[in-house]
Amino acid sequence: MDTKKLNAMKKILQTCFVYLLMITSVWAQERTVSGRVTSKDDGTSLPGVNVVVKGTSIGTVTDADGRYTLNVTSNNAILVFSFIGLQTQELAVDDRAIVDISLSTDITQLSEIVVTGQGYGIEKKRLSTTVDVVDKAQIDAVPGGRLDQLLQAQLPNAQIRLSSGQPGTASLIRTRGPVSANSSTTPVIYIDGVRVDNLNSNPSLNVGTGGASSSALNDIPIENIERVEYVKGGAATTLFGADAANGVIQIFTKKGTAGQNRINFETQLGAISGTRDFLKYKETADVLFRTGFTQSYTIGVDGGKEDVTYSVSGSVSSDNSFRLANDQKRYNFRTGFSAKINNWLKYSSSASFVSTNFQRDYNANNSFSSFANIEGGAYGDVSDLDEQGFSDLKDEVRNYVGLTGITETVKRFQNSHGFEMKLSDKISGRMNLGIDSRTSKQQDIQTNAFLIAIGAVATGTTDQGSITIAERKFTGITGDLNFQYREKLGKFSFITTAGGQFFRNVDEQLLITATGVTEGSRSINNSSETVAQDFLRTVTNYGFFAQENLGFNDKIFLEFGVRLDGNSAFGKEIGLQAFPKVGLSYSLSDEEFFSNAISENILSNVKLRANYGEAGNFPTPFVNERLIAVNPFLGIPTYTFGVPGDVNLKPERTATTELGLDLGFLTNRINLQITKFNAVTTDALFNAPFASSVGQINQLRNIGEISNEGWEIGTSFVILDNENVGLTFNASVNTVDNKVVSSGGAPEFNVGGFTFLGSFVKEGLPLGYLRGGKPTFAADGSLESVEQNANLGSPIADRFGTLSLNFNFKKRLSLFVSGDYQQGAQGVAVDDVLRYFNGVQDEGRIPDAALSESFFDLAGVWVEDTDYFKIRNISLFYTLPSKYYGKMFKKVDLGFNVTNPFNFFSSSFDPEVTGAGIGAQGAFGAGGFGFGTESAPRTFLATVRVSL
Amino acid sequence: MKSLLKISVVTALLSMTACELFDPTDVVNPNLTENAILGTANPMISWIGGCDRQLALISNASVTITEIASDNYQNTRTFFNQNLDRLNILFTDIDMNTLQFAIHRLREMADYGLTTVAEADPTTTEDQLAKLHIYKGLSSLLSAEYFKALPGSPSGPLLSPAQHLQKAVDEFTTSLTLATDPVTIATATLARARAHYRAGSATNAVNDAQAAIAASPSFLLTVEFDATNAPTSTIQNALFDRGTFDDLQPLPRLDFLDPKSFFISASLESATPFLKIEEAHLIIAEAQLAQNNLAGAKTTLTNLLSVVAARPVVNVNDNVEGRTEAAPGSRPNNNAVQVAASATDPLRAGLVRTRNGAGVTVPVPTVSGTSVTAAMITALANEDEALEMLYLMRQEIFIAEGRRMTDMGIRLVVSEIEALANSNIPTGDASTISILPSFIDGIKTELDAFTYDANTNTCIITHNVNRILVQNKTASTVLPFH
Repeated sequence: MDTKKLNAMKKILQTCFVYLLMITSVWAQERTVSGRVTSKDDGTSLPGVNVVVKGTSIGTVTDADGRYTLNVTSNNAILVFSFIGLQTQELAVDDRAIVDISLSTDITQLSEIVVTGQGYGIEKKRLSTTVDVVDKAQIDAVPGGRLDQLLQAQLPNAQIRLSSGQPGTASLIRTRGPVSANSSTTPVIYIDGVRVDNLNSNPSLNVGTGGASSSALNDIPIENIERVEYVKGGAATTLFGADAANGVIQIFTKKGTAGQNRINFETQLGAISGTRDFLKYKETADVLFRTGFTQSYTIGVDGGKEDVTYSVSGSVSSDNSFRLANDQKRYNFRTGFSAKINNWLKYSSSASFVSTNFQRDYNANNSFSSFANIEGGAYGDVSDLDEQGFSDLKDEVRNYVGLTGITETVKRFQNSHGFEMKLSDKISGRMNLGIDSRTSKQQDIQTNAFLIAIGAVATGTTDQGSITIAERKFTGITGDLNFQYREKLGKFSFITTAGGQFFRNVDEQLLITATGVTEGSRSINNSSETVAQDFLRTVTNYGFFAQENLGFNDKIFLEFGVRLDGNSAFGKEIGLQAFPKVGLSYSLSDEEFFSNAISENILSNVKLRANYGEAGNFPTPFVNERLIAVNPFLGIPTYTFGVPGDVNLKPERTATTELGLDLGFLTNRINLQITKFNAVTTDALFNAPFASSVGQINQLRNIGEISNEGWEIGTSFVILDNENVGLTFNASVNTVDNKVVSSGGAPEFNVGGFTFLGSFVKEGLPLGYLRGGKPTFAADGSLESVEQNANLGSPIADRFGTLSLNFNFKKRLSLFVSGDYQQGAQGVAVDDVLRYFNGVQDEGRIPDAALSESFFDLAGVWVEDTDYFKIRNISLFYTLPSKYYGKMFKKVDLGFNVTNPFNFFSSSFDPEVTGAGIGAQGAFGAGGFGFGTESAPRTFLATVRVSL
Repeated sequence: MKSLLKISVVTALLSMTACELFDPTDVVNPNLTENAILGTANPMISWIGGCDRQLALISNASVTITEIASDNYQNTRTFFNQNLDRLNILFTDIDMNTLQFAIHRLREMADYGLTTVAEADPTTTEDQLAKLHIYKGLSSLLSAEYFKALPGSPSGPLLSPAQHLQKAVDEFTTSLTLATDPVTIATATLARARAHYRAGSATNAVNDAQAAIAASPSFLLTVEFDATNAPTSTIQNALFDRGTFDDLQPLPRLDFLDPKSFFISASLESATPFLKIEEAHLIIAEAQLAQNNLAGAKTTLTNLLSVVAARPVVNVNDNVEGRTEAAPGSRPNNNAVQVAASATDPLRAGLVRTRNGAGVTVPVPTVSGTSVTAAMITALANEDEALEMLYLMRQEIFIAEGRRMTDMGIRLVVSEIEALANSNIPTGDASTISILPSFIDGIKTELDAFTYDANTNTCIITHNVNRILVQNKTASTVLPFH
């Protein structure tokens, strides 16, 4: 860190200290009370417990050893001790100077609360659906600047694959298989009740850098996250509206807790190293990779009184990457607060600002790609190079990579306002309003010097420099208002919820291309010709919903509801669309006869679940009307046919039936959650072609049917759990059988890939199956026959899951290991196709006698199984005993993380790095074309967290 | 409950005034609907501009792949179609669909212009209608030249090349009844000559060819591209631009004509000739040879040389391309190389250019070029020799224009998408299987083959396809007048 930054950081710290001192000095000090809080269950000390003097704002939290000290003004003072998961206790101080206490586990809180789409907490057991939760501890264990990376291997039923190791690139997030041939599998994302931009592909207008898509997930503000919930689809997402069929990620941020003000400071420093596991040539790494340095500094302050709480945090991070031309910087700021306005109204708000800035190199399908050029054999077999040859190669490549001028900057502001209304003991209401505003700018400055260096133009060329700028402004507004009524009548309990929601997304894009740019210019003004294009996509959705959750004996729960949605992307003949749901859950183990018959030491929990629910994906905006396209051509506006339009265009509808069983053994030391799902998408939106003789471009039509069937099995084993050692192991297995049931008579159509080997949609086969020539070779290796357009495999994994291990020792040392795997998918080794062009193809892939055959005919030889098991993260944290720092800090944690340390895989390329393969904005991409870009790097991070 | 009532009242009152400000349903499509466009002033001008643009899209969909399919170019290391380089013509090949879609779309656009747009635009002129008839005719002409059969209407029944040619002739004839503009008249006349030629109708073809020469002795109609707004030229990309490693290599005997399309400036793409008066001379000469009029043909071909000589030649810096792509040293790459059209043909100098070296440029004919000289024409001893030379001239003059594949008798197929979506085409219909003359089928993997001895600077091309064509001149798919 340079001196300037260090000084700035010092100033911030000093200011915070002064602020802290000011706060503490205003409190009168009549006398001091101290004590230790321990667990009644095992006697261990409890850090982080809130200790508040009842009726005042005086309070503190316990330190790492469970100790606290605070000042009281009266002998009548009562201390309130509270902590999530423990029973809140009150204790009179009297004249004591030391007040110790043991807290018991709160049985009532064992029934975990999750937050539904309407913002109300509900006990998990009342739900017939499942929700995965990632809590603060899990979030803290994983370093990572972006949401998808944070969640990778943390969600038992979701698969998250990063498509490139370069900054800001798109990921592939899938749960129950792709339900749509028209849209990405990325879930809808809410932060504090507000929908945020989740575009996980290139925008329509973008700077092409060769297969790499930029993603808005890279800069979703993840600062100050308290908890993430992942709703997988089906009945659980029905009430989220017309585009929730891919599931929903809900993020909740901190608003602070009452008590003493706390300052947290975190520093992460580390090294980034490009992984060589997947490289064909080690020389690729020798030319392009370096050991990068990453640094991150976060400061957070939170606290408040009973009526007002707050949480503020900010961070700055940067890294210079594991490879050339990939530097990035990030600034985050988030504030959250909550205020009780009166005895029935509470207001909470959160706001964040994110600024990112990074460089990118060309990659994948682009002859300017340094990585693909070396790996693809454009320089021949580089492992054969002598010292001089390698030195020349290094100089040449580093020279043009150094002249690469691709940058991307993002500025993002997100804000939410929530009103909670407690209108009576039984009726409550919520209103949310919020905005997500994201502006991204991609820029590619291609100088003549670069073009000459890479050999694209002749030496001396001066008129081919260009600058391309793509800007995208996304503004999303979300508002909802709903009410909930809770009633209990005898053995029956009712939770009735009803309300409405609207959201509006405006996506404005601009692409400017300047050619004949004067060398050295960074402005499009210095060019011979400038051309601009714009793009606008607006969509508005409004929905009304009602839901009933009916409980009987607190054991059997029936829920049913409906959401009615209208959407501006629907055809004009289409009105409100209804999405119904119904579900049943039964906690068998809560029955007396059950607990009498079976000891909880053997079978402690049995819950049965069944539900049916529909969710949708609305059509691409602006394809419902018959349009004429206007194209500038040779100086005049020219007309041609636009989309033919469809007045009956409506959302595709995914109906999911789930059956589930939750089991707990040995007083829930072993938990098993099994779900069988069957999701059928009807009226599936297919952008299938008409007969070419019609002469019209594709029209999105509700003509398809897609099915996804599978199992979700999650287990957790508490292997050790005593006062000294805790060891938990989690594992999940998910299966998906994806199939296009019907294409509605439309011919099969392409959704990605290449002419020689593409990703297609065809009746009877998985979405995006790999289609190409399948060769058969004779005994002498010559090409015997070719099955044209054969089914060569599917990029959708049949099985995937996660594994994780949590170990802690004396509540001080914790070790967290997470990993994930997939099986049963196929991918294309496109790097080797490039090597084949260059005569240095992988040995043994193609028989010698067939080497001169067309690569269209040989396509099948490049399809490989893409099984893998990857350890994503190993983290080790240690809470330093207070004897080392006395009263200077409340808590000090030291940590060490390694990300992506181990990879086990069946293919000749990284099965995860699939170049995204998404053809249009937000469109479906099956992935499976692995080439031309680096894998996510290894990082080695040291962390220091200090609480003041 | 009192609170609830109060809130409801306040919310209702607020909503009454605020609804308009927060109306979330107000979404305006920024694109233009059919009615909006037809309501603009003079939509016909822009509609015809759209047809011009569509012709550029057809050129992009046809020229590169058919040059690859012919003996003109070899696809050495590109993602352009490689099936066609081996004449493996598959109905599942997406390029088949892209091309026929572009051709059908031109017909539909012309039809829409002649009906809906003309009706909506009271200022429509007869010359504009004449142009639209030409476009409709070109759609039929290209259907016949490239395909074994194609529908002539949306999801309609398949029409044979002969039927398409008749439709083309009809459209060009209608155009001529409407046109007053000399360029439009020359275009329709030459296009009709081309349709008659392909239909084997020598008399009509010659009449139109002569009329075209008389009307415009240096006539040239090119397909223009838009360097800044697209479509840019695919053949320029394939022949010259190295940006995406797209690189086609010419048959060594055609090296001196390459790259016909090249980078001119950031704002100007190379245009591709589409109709030019050279064709009229070639048609007349071929008709003369069919009538055993060798002397007449010699005169016609000699006249043609002066037309070709008057076309522009540009010096192009082709240093970056080189001639040593897939395997270094495997292709002739300097002035000293002599090339023989086959093992039985003599070596000829001057057909290969030196391209590499500081400041080296190559002279490239941008419209027409030929290696044939007046002396060679004079020396022709018989009709077959003349026919072979005529076909060499066709090959050289039309290089990189997407014409050679048709001259070789090869026809593409109805696409899989058309076959599946058009109920008039039964499964496995013959239209989905290509036409490949037996004399081409036998050598289809050797069309681009040659031997090259860098030490002796000699290159011998494996097959002289022009001679093969003449040897099979009576075959129905080649040499239409024989």
